[in-house]
Amino acid sequence: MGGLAVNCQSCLKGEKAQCEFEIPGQETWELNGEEYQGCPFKIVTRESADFIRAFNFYELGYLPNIGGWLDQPAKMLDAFEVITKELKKIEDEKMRKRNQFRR
Amino acid sequence: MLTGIDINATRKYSSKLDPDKDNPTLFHIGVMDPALRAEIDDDSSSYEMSSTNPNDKAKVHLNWNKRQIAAIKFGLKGLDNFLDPQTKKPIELKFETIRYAGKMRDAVPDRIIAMFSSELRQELAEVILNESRLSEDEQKN
Repeated sequence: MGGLAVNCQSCLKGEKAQCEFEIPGQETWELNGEEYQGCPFKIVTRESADFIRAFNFYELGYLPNIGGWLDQPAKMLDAFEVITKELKKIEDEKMRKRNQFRR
Repeated sequence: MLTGIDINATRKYSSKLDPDKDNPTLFHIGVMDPALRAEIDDDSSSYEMSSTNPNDKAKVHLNWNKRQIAAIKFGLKGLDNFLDPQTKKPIELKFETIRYAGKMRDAVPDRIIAMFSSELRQELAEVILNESRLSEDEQKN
């Protein structure tokens, strides 16, 4: 999601000892203008990953619980709004960059 | 922490106020749907704006006790090892079904909520309401 250009797969699988993006002694990482304490990929929680997974199904028209959207957890719907906003921001940024090159 | 995806999921919570750390009372904290959360927010808060003087500040009234009771009534899904102050035996939580926020819902009876101290009510309500909201850290994650 989000078109990230960083390959973290081998690190997250525990196969990589060092990260090329890590600066020794630097605790704050910056990614897409946001600051994180430590590697942002390692602080993404199981919960966030579950929300993103549910969001992908939601976009295909499936809700995780029976009933309509009013029967879903309020927190999950909040998470979907956050994900939608973030995706929109990324899309707008991509569009802005594309238009820059056109001029 | 609940995942916040399964509407029927619960997590067990023991109070910070519980003196029995070896055998604590376990509260089963549930998940709220948007209608329930909105109803609790709206039921327990009101806004007042002056129509005559636009420079007057808007007033917000929050009914904390009402809010806490509603959160526990509909957000508490189970209770283990909570002793009835009269019989000194663990109480059996039997829900009553009442109409609230657009549908029939299981609710903790008032007589059970009345057994909780005000500090416990405050703590439980906070845990229940926070469980149904995305914190700033969670939004970032």
